[in-house]
Amino acid sequence: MTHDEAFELLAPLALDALDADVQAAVEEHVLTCPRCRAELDGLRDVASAMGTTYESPPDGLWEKISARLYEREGSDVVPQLVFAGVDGSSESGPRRSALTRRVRALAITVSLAAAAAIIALGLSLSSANSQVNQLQNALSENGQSAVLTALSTPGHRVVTMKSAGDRQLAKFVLLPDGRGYLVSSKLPTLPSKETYQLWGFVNGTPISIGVMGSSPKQVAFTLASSPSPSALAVTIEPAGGSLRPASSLVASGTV
Amino acid sequence: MSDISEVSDAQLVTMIARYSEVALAETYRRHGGAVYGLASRVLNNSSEAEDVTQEVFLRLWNQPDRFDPSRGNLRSYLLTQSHARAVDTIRSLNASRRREIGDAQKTARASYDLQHQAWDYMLSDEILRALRSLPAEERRAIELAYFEGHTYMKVAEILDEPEGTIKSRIRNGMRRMRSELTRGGIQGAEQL
Repeated sequence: MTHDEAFELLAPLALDALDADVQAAVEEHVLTCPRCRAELDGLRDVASAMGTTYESPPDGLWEKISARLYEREGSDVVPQLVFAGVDGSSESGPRRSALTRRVRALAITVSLAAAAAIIALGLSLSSANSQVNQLQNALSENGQSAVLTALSTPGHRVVTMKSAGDRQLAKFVLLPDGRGYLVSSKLPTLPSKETYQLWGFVNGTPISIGVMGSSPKQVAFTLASSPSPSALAVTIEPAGGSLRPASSLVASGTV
Repeated sequence: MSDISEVSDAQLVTMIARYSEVALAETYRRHGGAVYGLASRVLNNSSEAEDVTQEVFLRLWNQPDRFDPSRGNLRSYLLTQSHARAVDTIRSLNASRRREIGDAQKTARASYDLQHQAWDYMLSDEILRALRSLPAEERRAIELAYFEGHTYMKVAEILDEPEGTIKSRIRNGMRRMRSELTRGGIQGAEQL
């Protein structure tokens, strides 16, 4: 679609008065055309002004919205969750079915290989949790200084954890000696019966690094495995953690 | 933050990105009535308008980064979302429900002046002045598209005019309204 063709259709677009295919074509042009974008924004303001009135919403509507805030997006078995970047690739919407299959395949791999992998790393869930808790205590005393020190240590790596919707939910910093810290988190608070659990992927197999609690603020851990994980992932598990990831995968990021 | 009611809309969205339910509740308090009102006006059905309102606020909760304050105010963004979803709903309805809405719209068209009066009472003076500045045929084309959810081709069919004519009326009418609103100092919906 040419600029002139798109420009002519901006007013109907602002009113949502185009067929879906034409709308998609105009919107594609708008993405790359600052002039059309500015024109469309102005026209949408006009449409919104025209549509601005007030009608009291029905009683209970806010409660319905509030009750759905932590619903999982989508309707698949593992709906919103993608091991984005686990294999170094960047994944998004259209490949959700394939990814879901991949997550299921991973779960099968875990069920077959989890015990052996945990032993090979010498990092049982209980010891990992204990290690995380001890380090968390130390971190509480030192506040954020440990994180700041880690971020200024040569050779550190920052792992950005993203949801399936490509939303950044957390960042970890990893040091060459295996220590790691949570830098920032937008993970919502879970009910007390659930906890976030951090996993490292070693040769494609998820290994528990430890539980992070229901509202992670300060988390420290040590990666004792060799080779190092190629990716990290966060899942939601029952309080106390799990030996292998449940289906509630929240975010992942390439190391 | 001492009083959430004093926080700006842009700050509310930043708080929503940090999963502040209080911020979303305040956003709903400020704009829920407008979002629901527009959906209700387009759909003429409270249950479907409720669904649209839920979708709009859940989308803001799940994807707050979709709101770009450099492209307009939050009220305008939410109303754009509300309208788009209401129109999607109309176009996906089954035939009997479409007929039901169509009948209601025909009735509304038959008493067009009366509908105008009722609707006009709900609009601010500035918007009313801008709408009234339009030639009747431009206002009609815009309202059929915006409030009844028709494509401009369907509007052309309803008014028995060439598509190009309707496209021009919509474009000219929208630009005329923008000029009027700008002259009146109204840049967007938030100032209403």
